[in-house]
Order: sequence, then C-alpha cells, then structure tokens
Amino acid sequence: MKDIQRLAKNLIGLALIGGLVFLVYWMFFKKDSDDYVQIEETPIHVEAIRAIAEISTVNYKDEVVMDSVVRYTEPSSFGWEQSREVYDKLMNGGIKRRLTLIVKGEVRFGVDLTLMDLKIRQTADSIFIKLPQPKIIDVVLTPHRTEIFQEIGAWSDRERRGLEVRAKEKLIRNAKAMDLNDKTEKNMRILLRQMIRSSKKLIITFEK
Amino acid sequence: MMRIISLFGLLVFVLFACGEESKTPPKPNVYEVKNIGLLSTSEYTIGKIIKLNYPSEWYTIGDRKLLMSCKAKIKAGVDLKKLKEGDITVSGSTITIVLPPVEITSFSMDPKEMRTEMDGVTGFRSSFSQEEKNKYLRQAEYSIRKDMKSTNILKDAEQNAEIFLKDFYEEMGYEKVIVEHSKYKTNK
Repeated sequence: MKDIQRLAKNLIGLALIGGLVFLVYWMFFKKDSDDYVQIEETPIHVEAIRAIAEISTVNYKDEVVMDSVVRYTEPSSFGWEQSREVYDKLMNGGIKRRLTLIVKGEVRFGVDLTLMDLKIRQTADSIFIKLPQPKIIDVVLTPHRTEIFQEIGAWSDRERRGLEVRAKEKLIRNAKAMDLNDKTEKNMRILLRQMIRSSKKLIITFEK
Repeated sequence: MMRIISLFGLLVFVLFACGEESKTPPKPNVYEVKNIGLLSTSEYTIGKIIKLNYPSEWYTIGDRKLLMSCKAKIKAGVDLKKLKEGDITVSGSTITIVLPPVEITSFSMDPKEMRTEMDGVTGFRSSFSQEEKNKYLRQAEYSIRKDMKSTNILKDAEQNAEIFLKDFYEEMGYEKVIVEHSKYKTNK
C-alpha cells in the first residue's frame, strides 16, 4: 500500500514538473509563427516605367528543389547543452542545419523588338522579315511559388538568397537544355503569318 | 529523490533534443512547355516596404519587429493568341486590327531584390525564420498585385501596343493603320 502511495506521489510530482517545464517552454521559447499575423499596409511606389516591345512565344514551366545542408564537423563532448548535437548525430545523420526550397518558375523565350530592329524588305511577290535572335525574355519567380520545404537551424537572408539565385540559374539551365530556340522561331513565324494578311510570300528569318 | 532527479534530467534531455527531423527533399515535378503569343509593351518596376510589428501577448517578454523591402517587375500587353478571325481586316492600303484586352503578361519578384532592412527581436522572442519571411513576402506580393490596379500600367500598355503595331504595319507598307482596343477589365 505504501509503495502504491509513493508511486502515485512520484507520478504526480513528475507530471507537475513536466507541466511546469512545458508551460515555461510554451510561454517563453515557443516559436512565434502564427498564420493570422498580417503585414502593415504600406503604399507601393513605382520606381521605373519602360516602354517595351517583347513577343514571347514559348513558356517553359519547371520546378527545382534546392537543398543546403550543414553538418557537425567536430566530435562533441557529452553534456546537457550538447544533447541536441548528440541527438542529431545519432538520429539525424549529423545534420546541424538544413534549408530546402522548392522553387516553381517560368522561363519565357521570345524576340525583343524594343529597339524596333526588325528589317522588312519587299519585292513584287515576297515579303522578307529579319528578326533579332530569340532569347530568354522573362524568368518568372515569385514568393508565392517558392516553398520553404524545411528549415532546420538558423539561416541568414544571404544564404537563402544564394539558394534562390542558384534555383533561378538552374531553371534557366534546364530551359536552355531543352533547346527551345527552334520552337520559339517556329511559333514566331506562325504568329506573324496570322498578323500579316498578304497575298505575297512571307519569308521570316532570324539573326544568328 | 535520486529517481526524481534522474527523471527530471531525462526530461530536460528530451526537451533539449526535441526538434525537427531532417526530411528527404522531394523529387521535382515534370516540366511543361507551352506555346504562347504575348506581346508585352509596358514594364513597371514597383517597390514595397514590408512592415511588421508582431503582436504581443500578456505573457511574452520582448518585441519582434521586421522591416523588409522588395521589388516586382511587372509587364503588361496583349495576348496575340486571342486574335480571332476577322480581328484583322485589310482594305486597300488600310489595315484595321481589333486587339484583345490588355492584361498583365508577367509578374516577377527577383530574389536579389528582396532584403531585410531591419530585424528587431528582443527579450525571449524567437528570431524570424526564413519560412516566416517568405510568408510576409507572399503577403507583399498579394498587396502589390492588388495595388498595381491603381497605376497606369494597363493604359500605358494599350498606348504602347498601338504605337508598336502602327510602326510595324507602316513598315509593311500600309498607309493607314487603325488599331482598336477591346476594353480591359479593371479588376484584372
């Protein structure tokens, strides 16, 4: 009977200590990240206005995953303050910090006619149009389409920005690897044929 | 007593050790290539300051304040794929083109243009994570998309499209170029 009483006392004591520790953690150390928090309304300011003339004819949509991992390098001594490190080494593959981004983006190919540098020449039965070389017109990335898949440890803006820039470069590399310039030229020809209503033969070429 | 101390120690160890487990990154989705026909004629660069004063509770000690800046590059123009049969008519040396409504053709926020200007965390408050900052950047993106309606971007795009097409068709040899616009929706 005495043993049961002692066990019950111990359990209650333990529960109280546990509850107290949790309360302290919840009040002071819990991460502040609530969904209801809204940024203040600040006005937008127009910094630049530009008249352009860009025709995009191919849109490449892709998703890239960028992962950055920092591991523990030095052997750790055992102590309460190293418990996280010991745990990570045993259970987490020695990973100290990790940031993984999923970046969805679009790369658009087309022709930039802002300088109106297209050359048009006509003969009795033909129209010759020479357009600038197709190129990447836009790389569309937004925070809405960037997902922080996981963030372990503290990461600086510079590190995060570095990952995003690398994601953008990877998107461009993937798009270029698709060799979409031919498709861009083909679509450009189709588009111009729709816009130019002429009985003459239309010959469209691109600068190389 | 020793048992309680040991159990308390174990509890502290578990508390210190608990945290996020590392996950294997997912495989990216398959790419998609699409034919489009967008003529962008106006480009606006819009800046915004993101201001956040994190609300405090009675039990929180310290403040969390954040000031970030970001820029969006927005292009507007017409979708030439929406040109229908009969939208372009030729009569002698006069060409008439009825353009589809102008629309936003591209909206992009370069990561290089997003930065934290001030990050003020005091007391027992946790510092801002990148996930949180991304959440506030998303709110800023939404806010820019909403507020850009008050700029002249669509009107400029309409005028520039007209100028471009007039130049283009005049180069083609037409003496008179008439460009008509379908009205754009202001809630776009």
